[in-house]
Amino acid sequence: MKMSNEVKVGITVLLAFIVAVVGFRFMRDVPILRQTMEISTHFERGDGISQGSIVNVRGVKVGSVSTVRLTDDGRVRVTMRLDGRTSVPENSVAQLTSLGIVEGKSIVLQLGDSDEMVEHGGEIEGVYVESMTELLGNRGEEIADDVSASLSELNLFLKQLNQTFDDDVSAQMGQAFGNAEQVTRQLSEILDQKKGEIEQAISAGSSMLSQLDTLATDNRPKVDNIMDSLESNIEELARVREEMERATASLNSILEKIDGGEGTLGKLVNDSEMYDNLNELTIEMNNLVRGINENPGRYLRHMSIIEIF
Amino acid sequence: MNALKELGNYSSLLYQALRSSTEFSTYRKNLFQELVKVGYDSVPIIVLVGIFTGSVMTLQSAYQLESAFIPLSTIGAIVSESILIELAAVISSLVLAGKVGARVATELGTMRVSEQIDALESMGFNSVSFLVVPRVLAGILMFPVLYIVAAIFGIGGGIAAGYFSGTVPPSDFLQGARMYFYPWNVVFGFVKMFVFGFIITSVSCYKGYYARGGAEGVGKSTTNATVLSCIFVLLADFVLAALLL
Repeated sequence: MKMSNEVKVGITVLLAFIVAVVGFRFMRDVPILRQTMEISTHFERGDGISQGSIVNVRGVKVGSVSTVRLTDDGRVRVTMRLDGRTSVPENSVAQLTSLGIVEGKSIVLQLGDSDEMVEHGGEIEGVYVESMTELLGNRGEEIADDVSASLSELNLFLKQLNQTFDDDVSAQMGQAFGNAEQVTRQLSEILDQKKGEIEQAISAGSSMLSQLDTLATDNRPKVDNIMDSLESNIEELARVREEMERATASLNSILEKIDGGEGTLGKLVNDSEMYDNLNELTIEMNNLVRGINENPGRYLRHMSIIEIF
Repeated sequence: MNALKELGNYSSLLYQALRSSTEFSTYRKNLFQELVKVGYDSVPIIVLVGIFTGSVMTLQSAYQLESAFIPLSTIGAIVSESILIELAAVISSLVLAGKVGARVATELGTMRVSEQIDALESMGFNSVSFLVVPRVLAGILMFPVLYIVAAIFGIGGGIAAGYFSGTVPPSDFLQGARMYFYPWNVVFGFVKMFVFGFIITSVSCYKGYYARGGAEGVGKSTTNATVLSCIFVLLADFVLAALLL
């Protein structure tokens, strides 16, 4: 759209004017659209607050100071502009206090418990709270006197302490310090002398550690191998043990059978008959041999050499 | 001696302009043209100048005041106050000395060396009223408007920079800005811009109106116009601060 120069100028000026008014109200902390409520209070003095100072309720900003004026009776009348939604009970108290050491002053509303609310243009009680610095300024002399009295007492005490430490005591103390110094010097000399050895020991220790380290790293494969074969050996052992167990079990059963008298061996072990027979046979044989010895002819009677050969 | 002569010439030109400022019908059309060129067309660059001034001020103040004992709101107070008192007016004026001053000086210089001004005179036109008055008036009227733009965008840029860099939350910034907001600062800024607008346009008109010696002379007068405008803006800034604060 083609605009004539007049229209362009008009737009520029109008926009600038609107922006200026809005910005000005914004910076003055006058809500641009919201309703506000004005209440006023009186303080003994108005140090540190000015137009724009913050009004807090329990640390939350609810408005700002709009005017600060001296009244005829020598007090300071402060008008505050509050957010329209803040309700301030009648018996609330406005405290003029500082938020911190360096921060500026502000007004803190201590809300009361009354059911009656302050209307627009109403007034509440104001209390001026002395700040730390003011307190120091007003009572500084007192404090300074106290401090100076304390200091003079301290001085006296130190003097007395000095007197107590007469020459004798101080000489002893000097001696003691001298001894301590000597000991320290000797210790340091010893350390100096042994310095080389200590260093050697430390280096030896460190080289040993490093050797150990290399040993451990170099032989790692071998150690691994050993561990592997050990493992396989253990497995084999387990197998062997199982076989042994089986063998023992069958041996057991065999022994049980033997014990029970089963089979040849069982009978051999358990049956004494054979032993008796053998015994008898042996006795008989003995008798026979003895008989032959005593009288060989009796047995050889029927035998001739020729017949034999 | 030369400076005195220049001052005399300058004063006489201003006197003529003042005397012919009643001939509104002569320069009415030109005035609106100039108002658009000085004001409307300068808004974008002034917005840019404002935003960057504000954001740089914020970041640098935040960097300098990095201390546990200084509340963050101090940064807002410093930035908004410096913008309102000084930066919005002076930095914008220095930029406009280049933009507006150079244009005015070149226009008038070219008209002078191509003898258009003489032609106007011979046709019975009051050339001062036709050429100088609308330009100076446009400067006087539009510079305060541009001050508003620079200030608003400067403070806005400061808030934005504090917010996006995470150094100063907007609430702290505004708290400080409001705590130390004195309406007089704004008035002072307007006065400054009014004076600067007058200085830049009148010096440029003077340099262009009395240009001489062809294209080279126009170039020389344009350079002179810009440099002198800047110097006089800074001088006037000092004088105003000494007088009004």
